[in-house]
This record gives sequence, C-alpha cells and structure tokens, in this order.
Amino acid sequence: MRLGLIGNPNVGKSLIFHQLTGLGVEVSNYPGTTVDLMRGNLCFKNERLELIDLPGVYSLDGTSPEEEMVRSFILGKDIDVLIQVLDATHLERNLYLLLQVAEYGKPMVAVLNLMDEAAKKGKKIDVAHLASALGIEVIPAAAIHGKNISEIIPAALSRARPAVVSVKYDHHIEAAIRSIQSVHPVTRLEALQALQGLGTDTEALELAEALTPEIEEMHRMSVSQIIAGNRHHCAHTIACEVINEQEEQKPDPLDSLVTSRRWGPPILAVTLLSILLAVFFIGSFLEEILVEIFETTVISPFLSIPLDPLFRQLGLALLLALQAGLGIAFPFIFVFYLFISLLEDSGYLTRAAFLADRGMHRLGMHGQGLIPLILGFGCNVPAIMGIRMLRTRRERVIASFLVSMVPCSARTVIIAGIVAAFVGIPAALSIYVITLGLVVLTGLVLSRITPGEQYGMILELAPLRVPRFKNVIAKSWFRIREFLFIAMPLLILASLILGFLQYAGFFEMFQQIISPLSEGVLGLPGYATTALLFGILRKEMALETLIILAGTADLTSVLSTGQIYVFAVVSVLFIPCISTIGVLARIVGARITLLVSVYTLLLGILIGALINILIK
Amino acid sequence: MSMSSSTREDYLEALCVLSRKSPQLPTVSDLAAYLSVNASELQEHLVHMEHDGDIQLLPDEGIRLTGKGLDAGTRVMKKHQVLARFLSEVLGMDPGTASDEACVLEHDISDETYERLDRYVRGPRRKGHKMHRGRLNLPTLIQFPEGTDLKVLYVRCPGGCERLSDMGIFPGERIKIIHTLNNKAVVVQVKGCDIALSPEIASCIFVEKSE
Repeated sequence: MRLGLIGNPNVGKSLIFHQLTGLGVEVSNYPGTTVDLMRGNLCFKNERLELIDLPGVYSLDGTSPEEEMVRSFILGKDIDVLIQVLDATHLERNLYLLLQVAEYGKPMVAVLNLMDEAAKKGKKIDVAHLASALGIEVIPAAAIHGKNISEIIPAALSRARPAVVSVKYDHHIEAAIRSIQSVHPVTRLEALQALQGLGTDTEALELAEALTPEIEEMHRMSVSQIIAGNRHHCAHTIACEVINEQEEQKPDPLDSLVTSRRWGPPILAVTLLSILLAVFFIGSFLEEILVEIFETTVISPFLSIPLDPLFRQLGLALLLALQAGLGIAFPFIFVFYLFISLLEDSGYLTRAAFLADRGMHRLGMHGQGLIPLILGFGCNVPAIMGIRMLRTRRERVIASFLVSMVPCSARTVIIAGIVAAFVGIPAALSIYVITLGLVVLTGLVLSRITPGEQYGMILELAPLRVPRFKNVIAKSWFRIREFLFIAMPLLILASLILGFLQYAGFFEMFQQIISPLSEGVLGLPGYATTALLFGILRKEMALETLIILAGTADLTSVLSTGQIYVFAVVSVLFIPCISTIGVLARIVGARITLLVSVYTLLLGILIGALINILIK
Repeated sequence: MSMSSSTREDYLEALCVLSRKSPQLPTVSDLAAYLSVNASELQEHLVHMEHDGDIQLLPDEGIRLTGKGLDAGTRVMKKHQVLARFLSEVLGMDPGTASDEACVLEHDISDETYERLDRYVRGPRRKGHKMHRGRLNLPTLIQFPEGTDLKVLYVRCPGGCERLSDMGIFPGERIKIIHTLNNKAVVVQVKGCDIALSPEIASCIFVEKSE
C-alpha cells in the first residue's frame, strides 16, 4: 500500500514525513526527471506501508518540473491514498490546492497542521464543519509538538475517501467542458486540463484550442486565470465558513527590520559573512582535533604493522580517504549545513533571496538564484540540484557556471589546511576574495552574453519562526547523509585507485610529462600538478595527494609560500569535482557542462600563472 | 449553378463551428441563420457539396460532415482563428474587423504561411498571455508605496502568469504592498501570505487603489 503526502511548500509536510517514518528514508529520483522524491517505509498493524513525500507545490496545473511530476504521480496508479497537509494559518491558499487534488478523485484525508500557530494568531477553525464541506476526514494537528500525528496513518488506512467538494466553474468554462466531452470521450478533469493547454490528448487539445479564444475574449483574461479565479473563490467561501474569528494581521517588527530597505541588505551581508567565517574557524578547529585523533589511534598503528607493500599502499589509501572524508570534510560541511538549516527554518533564507534580488539581477539571475549560490559553499552537488528551481534556461546556465566556482567545503579544506596554516589567515581570506570577485565578474559577463529570456522571482516568504534545535539538527543530519552515503564511497574508491596508481608507478610517468608545463606556467613542481589533477576526483584530494607525493605534511620544507598560494588558488578555481560534473550534465546538459569545465580549467591556469608572475 | 471554392470552405467552416457548439447535428436552418443567407439558395449549394462527398444531408434537415468535409472545414476554421489572432493581438486591429478580414484571407493563405503564423501567435509558451494589448495606460504594482491596499485589474506576464494566479494574484483580488526595495522589487500580502516579486514581474501586474 502506498500513501502520498501532498501540500504547499512550508506547511510542515517534511516534518510530518520524518515523524511518521523515522529513520530508513531513501531519496530517489522520479523516472525521467531530476525531481527528488523521499520514500520511507513504516509498519502499521503488521502491514508494510510505503510513504512518499511529494515535493511542495502551489498548484497541479503548472509547468514546473515539480508540478508536472506531482500531477503525473497522482494520475498514475502508484499511489493508493493521498494525505493532504494544510497550513491552518493560511487555510484559504492551501484549500486552493486541495480543490485541485479533489478533482483527481483519489481517496484522501487532510491534516490541518500548525493548529497551534493559528490559535496563537486568534484563528478558530471549525474542523468538523471543514470536514463536512470537503467530504473527507480532517485531522487537526501540530507537527512541531507531535500532536495528533499518530492519528494520520489509521485515518488514511480506514477512512480515506474521495472528496465531495467540487468547484463551480464559470458557465463558459462548464459549457466548454461539456462541448469537448460531447465530441470526444474524455473525463471532466481531462477536458478542464485541455482548456488550460495541458495533457497529451491531441484531439481534446485541438477542440479546446478552438473554444478558448472566444472565452478569453469575453472575459478579457486567460482561461487559466478564469479557472484559478473560480477555485480561489470556492476556497475563499469555504475558508470564510469555517474560520470563526480572524484578526487583522499585525506586521512583525523583526520581519520589518530584516526586510527593510535600509537595514535589510547590511544585515544580510553581515549574516552571510559571519556564517562563512564561523564555518571556516569552527571547521578548522574541529578538523585539527579529529585528524589528530585519527592519526594517533588509526594511521600510526597501521603503519607499524609489517605488510606487503601493495597492501600497505592500498590500506593507507583507504585510511587516508576515511580520514579525509570524516576528519576533514565532515566538520566543515556539517557546521555549514547547521547554519543553513538554521537560516532555512527561521524563514530568513527566503528573505535573503528577496533582498538579493537587485544584486542577482546584475549577475543575470534573480533573488531565488542566491539560494543555490549559498548552498554551493557547503557542497556544489546539492547546490547544482537546486538550480532547477530557476525558471529559464538562461538563468540555469548562468547559475551552473557561478555555483561551480563557489568555494565548497572541500575547497575550504585546502584553503584552511595549507594557506591558513603555512602562509597566514589574511592570505587564506584573500583567496575567497579572488574567487568571489571572479564569480561576480563571470556573472556580469555571462548576463550580457547568455541568450534567452529572464523570468523574475515569485517567491513566498516563509513565516519567521524561532527554529527548533531538534529540527535543525535533524535537517542538517539529513543533508549530511547524502554526503556520507553518496560522496564517501566514491571518495574511498577514488583513493584506492590513486593508491594503486601510485604503487604502479603511474605518478612518476605523469610527472615527467607535465613537469615542464607545470614549472614554466605555474612555477609548481610536477608532483604538485599531479596532485591538482587528482583534485578533480574530489577537491580535498588535491591536498591529500600533494602531501603523499611531497612525502611530508610539512609543506614549507619542500614548497615556498608563493608556490603553496598558487597551488591553493588553482585547485580552488579549476574544474569542478567529478560529482559536480555528473550532476551538471544531468541538469544543464553535456554542452554546458563541457563549457563550465573548460572555462574553469582555463581560468584556474590563467589566474595561477598571473599570480606566479606577480610574486616572482 | 457552380460553386466557388471559397463559398464551399465557408460552409464547411460554419458546419465545423456549429457541430462543436452543440452535440446535435446542425440543420439547414441553423446554417442559414449562422451564415445569414436564405435557405433556398443554401439548399442548392448543399446538394452540390453532398455530390462532392463533403457532407451528407439527412432526412430530418440535419447535415453530417463526412471525413473529407470535416478535414477541410477544420483546416479553414484553424486558419481563421490564427489569422484573427494575428490581426488583433499582434497588429492591434479591432477583434471584429480582424475576424471579418480573416474570413477573406483564410481561403488564400498557403499552408506554410499558416503554420508559421500559428507558431508565431502561440508565442513562447502557452496561449492567451498576449491579450489586452491596448490597455497599457494603467498603473502597475511598482508605482505604489509601501502599505498601499490595491486591487488587481490585469496580469500580463511574458512567461505565463499561472504561478501568480496560483498564489492568488489574479484580476479582482485585493493585495497589499508590504515592502519595496530600491530596485522596485516588492513584497505583497495576498491571502495572508507574503510573496516577494522581482521588478519585472511586479510591473506586469496592473492595479488600482482600493478603499
């Protein structure tokens, strides 16, 4: 039996999902799309159930990948029962989606979440009345306190039924539906969708196309607008009937401050900068401790065991990979995700996007593009996944270049690990300045030369809430799982190959070929360029490889500070790591991926060569 | 009496339109009323058309299109719609005149011209967003200060306004401006939710002050 959770964004759907499923959640791709689906299993009275968390949508009739996916999911036979999550504080807007879902005729129940917040705002909702108006069971709940969450599954299993509520459309629309149905056998829902230009039935679409101009002419608005208007009206009527008291919304003074014209932008700049600095310092502090522990408890004992050279090499590579992943990347990435989840849960992230709208326009994007750019500081892979929410290809192309250049945690490891340690903190921060400067420059240029139209931001500001510590930790943990279970195995595999190649003497060969170029252009010894090459597998591997090839962790004994600086700049700038390349290819296609890789490669070498000339 | 090809096309088109309007088959008198011609003149042409295999005249005055007649009629009907839309939406002609003009042009336009025009009028995405071209003199959202209560009059987004409609920004709805930024990005309150809009979106939303 399959149950699907559906609802608007920000209604607590994911929280309910996690509460119902606990651990054992798997993230999968819906076939043919890049939209993530969360699936979890649960047992109820010895029956195994699968719960699917559909992405948050505002409508089922849109054309975004999320909306198309949810639509085809409900149309198909994949889901037996739908659980619609409603936000009690914004009931009317949430009912709009429910009215659309109801048209699909699936058995369903509704969860009226955030009852606690509605009560705080002085809203009293007559749940029984709402249930009878909709014709389905409505469960009042407060997911944040876990209230009534345990009633959802029993209700969905035994009392789910198709909703009886149906929207009365404008009589022209109703006439058009009848007229399509009289000539061509389609359902009411299919006829309605055909009128909005949706669906695959060409005959129905052609019939609809013949009917729409007349309706649009009479109403002076598009058919989609008429239909939306009718649904909003129906939602409004129901909401007015069931909400007893509604006080005038008072503006939140904190909200006014953080989004004000005067104070908003500086607060945003300070917030982002402090997060980056905090990640940098807390991350390096934790990293030092973890690496120290790993060194004394695992690596030293391993090295003292007498072993065959091949096994010693491979074993060491494996341990170094574990150390790099858990000891080095983990502290940075986890601290970063902690801060981001905090920003997200407090509702500030959407406000940051609004405030950044102006700046982002200069880079050829709009406010929403800020979110993937910020996520890029943690790991480029989820950030590139995030650019799907940008609506035009032009913006996605620009974002894919810029996000790939944002220094992720792995690159922070290199900056903190060798530049901050051997050259100094100001030098380390100067690398950020150089990289971000190049990101801005690239954006300015790309916004002029990238073809295509720009579509602006339409973004709902999530309500400002005090984040719950437990939820923030859970969210960060959920994000880091992706890193641990997808990136770590790759990292270990790559390290083993690296160890084997080193054993087979491949490095010496490569070094001989690359040395003249490396020394001439970048002023780096051949082995450093070999290390850079391995940075493509995973960025921090460049550092790890450099230490292995240099034969010492004290890099100042073999490289000058200038060389260390050049090495760090080039490895931060050039070619995104192999996982990023893989995701890029999926989201923007092979051609743009190739362009991004070549561009960053050339940029890295160019900037490295320039610095090399300058410091000589 | 022989029949010109444009008259034949007009009749077939009319029959297509009529048969889509109601589930019953159109009758000779329906057709005569629709085309405003007299029924006896019409009858003569219809016999010709039946002879050519375009239609089938039924004993109860009903007219049924054959497969051939339906194809020809649908084709002309589509040409008419595309031409009328092009003339009124792109060239700005009055819709009535545009439709009359389309009646004349639809018979001579080549298939290639029709297909290209069709692609052009459909625009970048879905149909229906290029309407009301003539009414640009209304104030838009970006012209009002923070705290103003407004009523939406028209929404005309280049990339489609479905997302705005879904969020409750559609003609007739009341909204309030909560914040504006220097670049005219705005936050509006609609149905109790705060929605942030880029300036290019905000400038597609035509509004008036509401009391």
